[in-house]
Amino acid sequence: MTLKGFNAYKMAQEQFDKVADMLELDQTTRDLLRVPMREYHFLIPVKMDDGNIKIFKGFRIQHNDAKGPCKGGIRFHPQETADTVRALSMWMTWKCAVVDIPLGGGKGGVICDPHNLSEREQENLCRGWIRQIARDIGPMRDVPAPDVMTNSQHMLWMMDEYQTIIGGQYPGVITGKPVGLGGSLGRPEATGYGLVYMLREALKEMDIDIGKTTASIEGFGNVARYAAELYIEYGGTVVSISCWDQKDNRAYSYYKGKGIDLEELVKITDRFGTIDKKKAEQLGYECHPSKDWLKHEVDILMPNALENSITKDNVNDINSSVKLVICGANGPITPEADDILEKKNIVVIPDFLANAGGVVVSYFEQVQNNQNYYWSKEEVLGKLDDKMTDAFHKAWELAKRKKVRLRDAAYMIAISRIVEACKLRGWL
Amino acid sequence: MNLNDKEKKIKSAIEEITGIKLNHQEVSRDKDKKYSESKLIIKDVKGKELAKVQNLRDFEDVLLSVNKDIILRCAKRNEFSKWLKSIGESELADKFLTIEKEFDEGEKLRKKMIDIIEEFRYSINQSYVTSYHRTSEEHHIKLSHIGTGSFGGKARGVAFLAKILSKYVTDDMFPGLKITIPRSIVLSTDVFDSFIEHNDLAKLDISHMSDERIASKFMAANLPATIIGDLRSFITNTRRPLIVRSSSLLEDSLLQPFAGIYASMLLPNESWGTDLRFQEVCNAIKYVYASTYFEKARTYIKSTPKNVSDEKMAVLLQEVVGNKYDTYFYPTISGVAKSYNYYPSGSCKPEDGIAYLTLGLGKSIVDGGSSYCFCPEKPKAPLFGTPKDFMRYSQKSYYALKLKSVYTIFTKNEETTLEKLEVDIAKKHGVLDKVASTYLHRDDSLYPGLYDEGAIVIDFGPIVNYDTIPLAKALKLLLRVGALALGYPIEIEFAVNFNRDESKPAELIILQIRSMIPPDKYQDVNIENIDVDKVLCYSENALGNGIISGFKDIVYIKSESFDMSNSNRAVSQIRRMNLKLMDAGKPYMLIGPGRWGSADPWLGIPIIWSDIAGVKVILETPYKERPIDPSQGSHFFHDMISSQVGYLITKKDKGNIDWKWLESLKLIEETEDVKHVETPSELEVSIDGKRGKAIIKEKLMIDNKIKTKK
Repeated sequence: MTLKGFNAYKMAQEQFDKVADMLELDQTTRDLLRVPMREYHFLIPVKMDDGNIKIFKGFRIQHNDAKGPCKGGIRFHPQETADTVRALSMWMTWKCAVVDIPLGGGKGGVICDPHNLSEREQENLCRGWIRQIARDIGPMRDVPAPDVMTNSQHMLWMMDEYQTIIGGQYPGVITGKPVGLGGSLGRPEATGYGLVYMLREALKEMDIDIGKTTASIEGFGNVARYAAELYIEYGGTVVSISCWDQKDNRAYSYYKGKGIDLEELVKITDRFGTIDKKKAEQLGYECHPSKDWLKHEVDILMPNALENSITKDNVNDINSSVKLVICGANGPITPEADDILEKKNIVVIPDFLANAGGVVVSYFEQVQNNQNYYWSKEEVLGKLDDKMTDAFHKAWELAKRKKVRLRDAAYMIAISRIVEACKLRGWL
Repeated sequence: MNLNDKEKKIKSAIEEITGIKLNHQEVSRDKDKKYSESKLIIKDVKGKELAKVQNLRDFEDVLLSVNKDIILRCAKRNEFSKWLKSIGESELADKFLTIEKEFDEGEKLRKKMIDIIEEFRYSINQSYVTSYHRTSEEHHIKLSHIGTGSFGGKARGVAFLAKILSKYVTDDMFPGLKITIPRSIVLSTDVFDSFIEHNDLAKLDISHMSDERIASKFMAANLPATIIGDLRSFITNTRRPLIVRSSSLLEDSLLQPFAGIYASMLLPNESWGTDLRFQEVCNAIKYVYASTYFEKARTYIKSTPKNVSDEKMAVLLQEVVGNKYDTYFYPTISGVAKSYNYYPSGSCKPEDGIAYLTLGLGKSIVDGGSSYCFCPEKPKAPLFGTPKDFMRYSQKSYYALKLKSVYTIFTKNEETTLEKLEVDIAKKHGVLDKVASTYLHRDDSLYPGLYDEGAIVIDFGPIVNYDTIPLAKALKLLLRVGALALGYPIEIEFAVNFNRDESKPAELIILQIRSMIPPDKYQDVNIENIDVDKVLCYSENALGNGIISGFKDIVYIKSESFDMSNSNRAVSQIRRMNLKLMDAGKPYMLIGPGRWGSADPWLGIPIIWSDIAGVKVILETPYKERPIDPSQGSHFFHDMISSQVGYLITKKDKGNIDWKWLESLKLIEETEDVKHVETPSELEVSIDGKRGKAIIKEKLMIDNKIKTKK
């Protein structure tokens, strides 16, 4: 998942320091914002199927809640570290702030590999995690959500355990629930669609007709599929997508010059997200090594899969036709690659701005839960579009006015909003 | 007529009407080059001449009538594009050249060609319709679109108007009157396609579903994610009442006007919460989409050469024009103006056109209720009656939008959002002094404006007779320019609104434009020398032209017992018989008392067009002793004329239908109020359009005559 020797927390702090300099923040403000406000480290004893007890290590880190309850996912990962969770919680603060929703940043996790756990063990782990943290989370304090290797079933176990402990119906304690049990319509589409809403606005600003553009997408998961769907709907042509091949234990990219047909590809994809290579080739797709995804002659690149996908080593492989990179994945571009992209005059819409659609609709889910009143899909997506469009234009305008990168402008907006909230509360 | 000549004619018409000299600029065309009066000869495979085309109108006729294979053959030889080039229409020629190469199927090619000509007729320059942008400074833009497809008939008409207004009309032409269009947004047909596709609605078996069921299926579906952000932003920024209109591909198209067939929704749009207003608009759009498949539309489409699958729906969202008075909202005046008058009277010629005005919302005109009419060319020429008649017939009530309607029930949209108010209420709202006169008994005269004594008469006297605003002149110009630009007589729907701040000019807001079927498409019939005593029926007030024959079926209201209090009841009986006859492919004649298609059941049977879509001839007989003016119902007449239906009005004393003969015919079906009979031989109706006279005969009678002559 991560590069050797790479420390996400250190990177997050460096990013913050850079923007703090640009905003000329004082030392007290920096001291408050460059580290999380609260950290919970705890042990979770779980009775395993073989009768033994196993102790798991869990975290919940709340970076800042000046603007509202903390929000952030729960990750189940064998290589989870406190530093990764710290960094991610900080990024959540900025992400919520940049789209201007009244939430703070948090993140949680458990060091485990759910592949090695039975369903019952996973349930016990989820319930155990909640028992440890129940008094420090809640609809008005901190609202977890699914993340790496956690899904809506995990969320429902956690919600149920929380409600049992507290004694009441609190669907708003957790988001990412299925529709019908407190989930929101439009949640599956949220990140991918939000990404394309922002892409649409960026292209308008760049005076490019979205209907005449082509794109290459890395990934074929939830974000990539919905992004491709809406982008095609707007008239764009996706010439390449890439996906992980479970059997070959490597990734491939699939290319079709005329444009991929999303529906036919989904039909030949298994439940792990692997596209059937043979069938794809029969349908006229060229199968390339995954790294080729950024070499195609396209206008737009969408890294929607992994961290560190565009690095200083491969950034020069990018075709000269590319005008814009929009990041659906978290941290897909390393800082060095980012510098090179700027030199090449390629517009980069940074991850925490571009993929904020997910947290926006999670917020909508929470609002609907707390009101116990549920919206139509049109209302959810209409508001999502509003939020994304507004956030993009604010960042774009500032970037132009201050002559800084879009990423820096977005950070400046987010951090200023948090600073402002802290000041109003009298913390600073 | 090519573009350049057209433009010149338009300009000189404007100069003549307004007295303002326009800045003449030649359109990009080589002045010195002589364009020949070249003709396109269409021949069949054997070389026999089928048609001679001299101008675009002929061309359109040929495209519609000639066999598709011949069209394809001509196209493959580039005959069309060459001819267009030779008459100087190079823009059109280029477009034709492209499709001549592209298409290999005659029917598709024909359709595409007709589309291109229609587009060309409206000559939409995209710069008048901008893509919707959310940036706040652009909210003043009057017409914008969401989506990239076609605009459909109505929206195309509005775009055309926007173009005419910005190109030719300047503020100084009509002092005190500003001509404009309402702020509108078009959701083009690709949005409809995407809606149908994403929600799998094409799979519905609509032929067995009720309208309510279709509507509920559509309402449960989701509008495409590509447009809802823009739509929401539009709603966020407007809290004026909205009308959501259908603007389908087939609707208001030059040759098949589907006026009034699909749904239009009025929304007060008053709620403080954006969410609620947005959801209401989404639902209204989905309801309009659903109406594409309603029974009314399906029945109507059967009477045309088109299929439901040809239809695609764009939606036009317009701000309703008017001012707010307490909890009501309405414009001072609504109106319809036509450049060709099918009911000329007095010194007014058919070409002088006619305008109908009404106080408040236009529902009363469109539905054939009471309104005031005048001729824009000769506004002061009285079209009917004495001051006393004016008083008797003038409008007593008007329609307003209820801003506080509690329910949004789409199937009953008009009932829940509109309210009929007494004219006295408008007096309280302070809108009458601009539109009313006062009738004084003592000198049997009308005085413009309001007085303490006397009766209020809504005759628009201050405007029409005393020119308080140059409305007649403005309408005259719009009708003339519109008809010249489109090449067809036109009909416009408009509203006039006086600003509460009197220092600001009144506004003439054009809501819709559509073409009328031109009178010169009728053939010449002369029935001057026919002995009226020897025919079944004779009318001195007939609409239509030509000979209509080939039918034996008659559906009639049982006159001897019929009472207008039952006219609502008769509608469903007629509708059912119409369906039966249409399914059997039998055209028929409809006979009954009073004004057909009137919204007022006391004046006539309140059918709508789709109730009688299979009819060939309509006969309006006198009702008891009461004289009823012929209908002006706009939608109804538009459809009637385009379907080439004959409409005959008879008098009690002369030429009325022979009821005894009717009773003697073979009975097919009888209901409470309606009878369906069949004549032994075919009927023939001859209508002399120029003189407005008509006769009905049995074909047998004619044949017998011929035999005797022999």
